[in-house]
Amino acid sequence: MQLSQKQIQHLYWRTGFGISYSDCEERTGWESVRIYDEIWKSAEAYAPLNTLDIDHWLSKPLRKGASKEKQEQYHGDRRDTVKRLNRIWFDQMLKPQADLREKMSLFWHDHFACAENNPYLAQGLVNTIREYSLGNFRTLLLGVSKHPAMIGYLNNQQNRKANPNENFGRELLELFTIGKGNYTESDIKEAARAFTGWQFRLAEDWEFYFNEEEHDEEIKVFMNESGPFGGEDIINILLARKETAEFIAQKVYRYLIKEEIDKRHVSEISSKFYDSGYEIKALLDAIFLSDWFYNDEVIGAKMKTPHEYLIGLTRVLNVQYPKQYPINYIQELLGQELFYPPNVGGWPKGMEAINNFTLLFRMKLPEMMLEGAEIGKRTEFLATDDYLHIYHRITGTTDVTAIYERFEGKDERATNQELANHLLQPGAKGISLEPGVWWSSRETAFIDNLKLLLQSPEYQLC
Amino acid sequence: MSIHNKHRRQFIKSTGVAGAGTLLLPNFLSALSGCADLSKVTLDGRRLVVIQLSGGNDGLNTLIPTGNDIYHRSRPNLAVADNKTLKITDQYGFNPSVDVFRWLYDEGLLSVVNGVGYPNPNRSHFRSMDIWQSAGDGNTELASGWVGRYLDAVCKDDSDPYKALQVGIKLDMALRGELRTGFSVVDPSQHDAIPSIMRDQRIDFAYGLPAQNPALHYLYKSVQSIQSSTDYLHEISKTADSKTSYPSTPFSRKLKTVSELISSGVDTSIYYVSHEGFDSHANQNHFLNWPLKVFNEGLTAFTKDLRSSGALDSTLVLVFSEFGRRVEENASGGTDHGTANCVFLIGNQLNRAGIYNDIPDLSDLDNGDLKYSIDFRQVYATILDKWLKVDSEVVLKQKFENLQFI
Repeated sequence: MQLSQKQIQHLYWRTGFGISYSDCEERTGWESVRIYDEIWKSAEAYAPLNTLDIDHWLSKPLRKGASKEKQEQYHGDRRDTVKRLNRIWFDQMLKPQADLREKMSLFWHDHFACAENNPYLAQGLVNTIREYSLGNFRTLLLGVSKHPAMIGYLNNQQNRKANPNENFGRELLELFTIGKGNYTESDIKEAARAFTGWQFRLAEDWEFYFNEEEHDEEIKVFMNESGPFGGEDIINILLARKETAEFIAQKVYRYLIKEEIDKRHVSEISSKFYDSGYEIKALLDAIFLSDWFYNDEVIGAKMKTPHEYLIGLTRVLNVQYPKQYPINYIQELLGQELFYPPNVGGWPKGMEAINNFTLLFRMKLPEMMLEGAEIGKRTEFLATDDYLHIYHRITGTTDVTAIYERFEGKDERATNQELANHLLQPGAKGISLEPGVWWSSRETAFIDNLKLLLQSPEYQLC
Repeated sequence: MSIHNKHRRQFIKSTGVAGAGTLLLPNFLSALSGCADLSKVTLDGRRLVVIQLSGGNDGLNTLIPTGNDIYHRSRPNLAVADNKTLKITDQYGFNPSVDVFRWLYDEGLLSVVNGVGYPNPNRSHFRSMDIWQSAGDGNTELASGWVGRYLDAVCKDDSDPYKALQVGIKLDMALRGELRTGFSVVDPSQHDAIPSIMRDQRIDFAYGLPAQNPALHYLYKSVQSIQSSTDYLHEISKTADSKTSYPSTPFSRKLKTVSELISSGVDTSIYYVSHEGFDSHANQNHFLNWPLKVFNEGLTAFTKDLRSSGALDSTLVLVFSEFGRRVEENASGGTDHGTANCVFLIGNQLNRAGIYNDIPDLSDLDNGDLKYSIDFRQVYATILDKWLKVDSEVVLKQKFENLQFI
């Protein structure tokens, strides 16, 4: 199947964070499979994120009885390092060649929500997720379940034979695998018993270890099966249930396709996922190689996540942020500061992520970034907003010369129309693209139209 | 017709906003059915102001059990000396940083409910704040917030999101219901600064409702609702006239905005204000005093303001934090995440002003933590049933025994 411009853009929005106008032009007329293969090839390489001084956080925990200054310094440094880690990941996402891996890593970063202040553990967990984000779900689940950050976050360190803590068992069933309605309270208790002894060496090497002394070796009855189960047995039983494949497939569907479920399509992709033994590639192939993926009701029907929105915008406006740029702040205002999910359920998703504040901010950001922009030079912006109380903390430069030059020689009406086709996946029916009469030059008219399109409700969708 | 709609039509008439608005949204404002269910109850213009102290305020260092040996033994560095507290009874004194409580106590405007918590406590901020905001507990996870579910219960459609209003940037999960979501505003007077697209004639927000694309439909509706709500809040807040001066901290500015909106007659039932910075694992004497001081100054100005304007008659203030701290101080001169805590209710319609119940027994701890005796949802239920006059069981999804503070 040969793809149109809109369809190419669609594929790139759903597998990543959009495609530039020139890259899209280059691929016009290509077969869908050829583009999809290319996307996979560029996502295959995996390189861990690495903040430079990470070993520091391994080797030097805060000593008991440290002075006041030392403690303040220590906690401040930890926060700063997690913020830097966030920026390093964000920079990685801005590189177009890694789109699919980072897109799915963001999904799993939300799915396996975990707030961790220790930079060493935060980096370790995000790298585990990024490494396996396109691999096998069982490997990923096991890697996360054994990760000290998750063990700490869900209190499995306190899950002991004599006094089981159900926190991890509960979230494993409810949020990570099979989902509500498919298990009983007793299954949670029995799962918790099976995971007793899954611990990590706190303040030593921070590695996972199995503490046999704290492990409950007695018989457990879990999902109608009984045996002296350990944690991996529980995971195997959960993965043997088709409901687990359905739960994951449905969540991935809503992340990549749209919020309203088409049951037939979900059941189709979930079977393929299950039959493959939980290969994430099989699940993604089932989605992106299906014929319904290019249906009209799918294109432009999905709310952009905060990162789809922000990375897309950063690329279109060719934004460069200063080195110490507080990317965390923009993420926070958009409602998704990486590494700090609001709760175990992750961040609000889909339409839930849109409230009056986040929507106003999304509509204001392009306006602030394009303030004073000129064609032919990189322009500084210093974002301020009295209504939302944003003062100077969002700074950087934009340069829209390259995209302007793609439309050289075209009249204003055609330019507006083509720019809308490029930027607005749901179309531009409610927007007037008529040339204005009051612009002093074609260049100012272009920038004004660009601003209008980037602020529009349509731009919030992909 | 609800009182509110009538009120708003008058407002539209008197300010001429309808004229400006019709350019963008014909028939929209007049087509509102609003939170009509409210007309069935007699709310009498009552409202609730929720002040959330984020980070885990140390209740034992706020209301201090004077003369309690265990308290002093457990906190050799942090305990406030008995003679330094603002003594109110033989047993209790307030931390000197919060003299507003002593004043409110003396005036009979304060009720302190102690030992408030929930079963199977969770010591993570994220999870515990989530529990307080959703009104679930350690075993039940609810994906929506209790203030949002209040909106679900009383509003027929989403046209009046500012019925529940968070003052500040962001919208906490508490205001996100299953069907409806509250509204957030920082400074309604800075109305001119809203994104230019909201006033751009090139997009027809009213006629462009694209029903075949549900997400786009939702966005168009959201923009309409933001337009009408920001217009409404802006216009009506112009009439505000507060004579009280407030400190210049962000927390105080938020409270000032709440006061202005109340005095201008905005039809909001629940205001939500968050104050951060209470996570004091280390050097509590140094760290905690600052957020408490900011809190104290803000609350002082706010309650005096409401009292002098008469708004305190119809306003109930709830102050809570997601958990208290452990009884024993830690090695870093701070306290770690605890469980049961005290909540504060402020108003002049209190049934039982003063210390509502005693703090939990410090000699009977659960693994170093205070044992709770009152479920925090009993506090919510009492406010919902008795003050906001809505069936708490609908909002909280369970029946909780009411308390007697109002």
